[in-house]
Amino acid sequence: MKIAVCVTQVPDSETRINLAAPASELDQSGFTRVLNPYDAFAVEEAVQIKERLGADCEITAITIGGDKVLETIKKDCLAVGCDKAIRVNDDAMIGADSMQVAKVLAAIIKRDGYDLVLAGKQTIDGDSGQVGPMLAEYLDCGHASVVTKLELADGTFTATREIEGGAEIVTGTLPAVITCQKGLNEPRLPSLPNIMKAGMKPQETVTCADLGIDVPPAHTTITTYTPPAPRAACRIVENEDPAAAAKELARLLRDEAKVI
Amino acid sequence: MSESKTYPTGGEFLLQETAPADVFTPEDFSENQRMIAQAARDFIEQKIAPRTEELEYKGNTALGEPLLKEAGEMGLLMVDVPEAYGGMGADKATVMVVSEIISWSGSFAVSHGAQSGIGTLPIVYFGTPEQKSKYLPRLATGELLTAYALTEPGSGSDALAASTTAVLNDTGTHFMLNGVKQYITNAGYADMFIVFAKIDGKHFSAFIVEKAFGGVSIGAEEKKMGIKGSSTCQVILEDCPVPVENLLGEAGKGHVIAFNILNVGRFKLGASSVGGCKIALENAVPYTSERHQFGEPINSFGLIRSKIADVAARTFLAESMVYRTAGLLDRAIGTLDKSAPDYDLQSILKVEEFSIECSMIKVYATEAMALAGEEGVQMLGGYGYCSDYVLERLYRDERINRIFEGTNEINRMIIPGMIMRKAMKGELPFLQAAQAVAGELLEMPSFGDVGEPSFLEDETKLVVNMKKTALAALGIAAQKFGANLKDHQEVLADAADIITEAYACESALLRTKKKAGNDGQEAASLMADMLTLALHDAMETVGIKARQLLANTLEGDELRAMGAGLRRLVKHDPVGREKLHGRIAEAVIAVGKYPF
Repeated sequence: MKIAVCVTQVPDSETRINLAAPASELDQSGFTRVLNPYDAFAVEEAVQIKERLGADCEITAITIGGDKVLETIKKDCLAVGCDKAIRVNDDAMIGADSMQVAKVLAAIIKRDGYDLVLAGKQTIDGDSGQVGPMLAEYLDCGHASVVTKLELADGTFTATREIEGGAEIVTGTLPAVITCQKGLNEPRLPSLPNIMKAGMKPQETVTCADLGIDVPPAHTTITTYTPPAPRAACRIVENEDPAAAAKELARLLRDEAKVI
Repeated sequence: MSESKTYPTGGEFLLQETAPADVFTPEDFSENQRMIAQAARDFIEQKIAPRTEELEYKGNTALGEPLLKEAGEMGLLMVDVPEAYGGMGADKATVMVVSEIISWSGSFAVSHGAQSGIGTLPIVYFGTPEQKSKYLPRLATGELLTAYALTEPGSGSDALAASTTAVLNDTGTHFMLNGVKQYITNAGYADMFIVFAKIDGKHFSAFIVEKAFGGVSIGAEEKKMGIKGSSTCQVILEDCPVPVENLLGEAGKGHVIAFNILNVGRFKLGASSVGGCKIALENAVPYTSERHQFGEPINSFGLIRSKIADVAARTFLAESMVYRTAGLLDRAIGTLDKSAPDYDLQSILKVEEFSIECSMIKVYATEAMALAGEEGVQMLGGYGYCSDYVLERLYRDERINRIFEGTNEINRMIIPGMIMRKAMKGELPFLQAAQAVAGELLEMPSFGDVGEPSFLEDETKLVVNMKKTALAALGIAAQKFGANLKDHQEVLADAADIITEAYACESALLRTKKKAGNDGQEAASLMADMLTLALHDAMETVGIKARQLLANTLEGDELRAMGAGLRRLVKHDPVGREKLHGRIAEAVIAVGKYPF
């Protein structure tokens, strides 16, 4: 079985976001970059499948990005059990939208042929959640998103999807695209010796031209980022009479803050 | 690492000029070192942080056992173990990176250090091939947990005064060990101990003692001020039979093992104290942004900004000297033939050459962390005094750092003591250099060319003068007291402080110059500010210590003449600290943590 795991790097959730000028860009100088947390579930699922199937299974991590993504690929993919990595390094993909990302990933997956494609259910920076389903469309195969349990048998899959207020169990045939949700598994940590050895695993770097594709124009463009409004100073309702103070507080919450 | 067969030896920094390109700095970390640091961070976040309450506040020391096993699975216990015995055989820079990051785990850092450091390294460096094969692979994975048992109720700093005895039995198969070991980290769950005992009450030696040998009992957990999640107990040996093949190293040579292992413990503790400084900053600084008083965040006030800047600058110096030392060790070890059968032993002997540096970083970094804890609590005000905030714990935990791995007093004796020893053995041309400087002091001052100052030119001159002060001060004391110098502890401590400040300042200077050389002066401007701030503070300290030392050493005309010369050396035009504090604090506040 050949498994592709699509991964990406995102700013650490504790990163302080500063806007650059123009406001359509972020100042990335202070960013700490990490593996998208949902992608970690995809990597772990692939590794667990491989552990069940044994040597007859190969995992390829696929990503798009500049050299900064390499540490993440080594530490969080190759060091935890992916067998090789393919990276698209192309200036045309800087700031790419979901459709562009899906098309480029699809080109690699079509080129090499995979039985199963795993990805995170969404990134925690772009937050669109679209790449997985779009990828399935480009590949013309089935998909299940927001999956918390996955079983494979004889060219088919059974996936438990998290839906509003419950779960939905879907089945389908492979190849398929599965996007992974928290709860699917517990991602392991890379061991130090495996980190040291990760650099020896095969890594391929390609451009869009190498893949024989033209990147389509973006369907969406980010025009402006705005930071959340700064928190207003705290107001203290001052009244000697607690009952009157509570009444005034309730009025302010209803009429001014409009939260009740 | 360079293939060259020559390398600077310990203490040589004092006598020679070092090129910025020749120092190792955190900016030089390899991709592997960065990834290992991040993996260790992830381990702490996922495995240790959720247990903080139990470990640090409920004092559940038994948790150390399963957590060490988990650390073992991840490879965090094998960094120092040679590859041939299932370890990573990593260089010292990597070892220090891991030690620094593990400090974020609080008490667990102490358990980790006892297991992977002082509990395992005696076998790495001094074990026979049989002992190594038997123990190291299982120590590297955490299958076996270990502890280092040197201290006794009656012997701490004076380790050789141990009263634990080892007597060979009649059949010559076993040593029978009797005695009590005290303050033994990990004792609550260790499977084995590196025990120091005197054969026939005379010959200080080391033994590998398995708990299963029998005759080993463990005392109650100590009730400690801090590091409450780490296990600390007495180990009581009563006719404990240790097979003769478990004698570690040569009989009567236990002191070689004890002192060398403490040396390694010292540089690791230096690294973890740098981590402690950073923890203090990242917990205190964001608070100062959120806390408003008089209508403003408190870090808009000068006295809070000065604390932030002082701690950050001190952290920068400590970090610079820790990783410079890592580079020195790796360079020295890099000259060895890795395939030689005694490579491990030879490599610890290389570390020994740098015992001066190891002691300096132990003293400087633990005291930097003390400042960070002190000022961190103060920045949080009343909250800093409450155990809901990390600073309260850090303030208590920090205290032990200045006591264990050799008290800071003992380490202060080692710094000038080792320089003198190397000078006497002809390994360091110290006395010649000291005489030359002393001669300079009595000459008329020279007025150098006054030109356009280059980048860090003033700072460079101050560091040169600081090193000259160190040479002159220790040289004068050595000349005056000769073999009795060891009896003048106050003089030695003053000399140690001058030498240490010089090493710290020079390390930060070289790092800043290296950064500027690689990325431009603008990119190094924050480092330069920190250096300038800390350097001028250091020069004040050096001036005071030098004056004290002279007054304790010389008198009359001699004192006056040398004093005048020294005053010229330690002279420095004051800098506007408020401006420096402001700029540094601004940069630290912007990121909410140590900025490098």
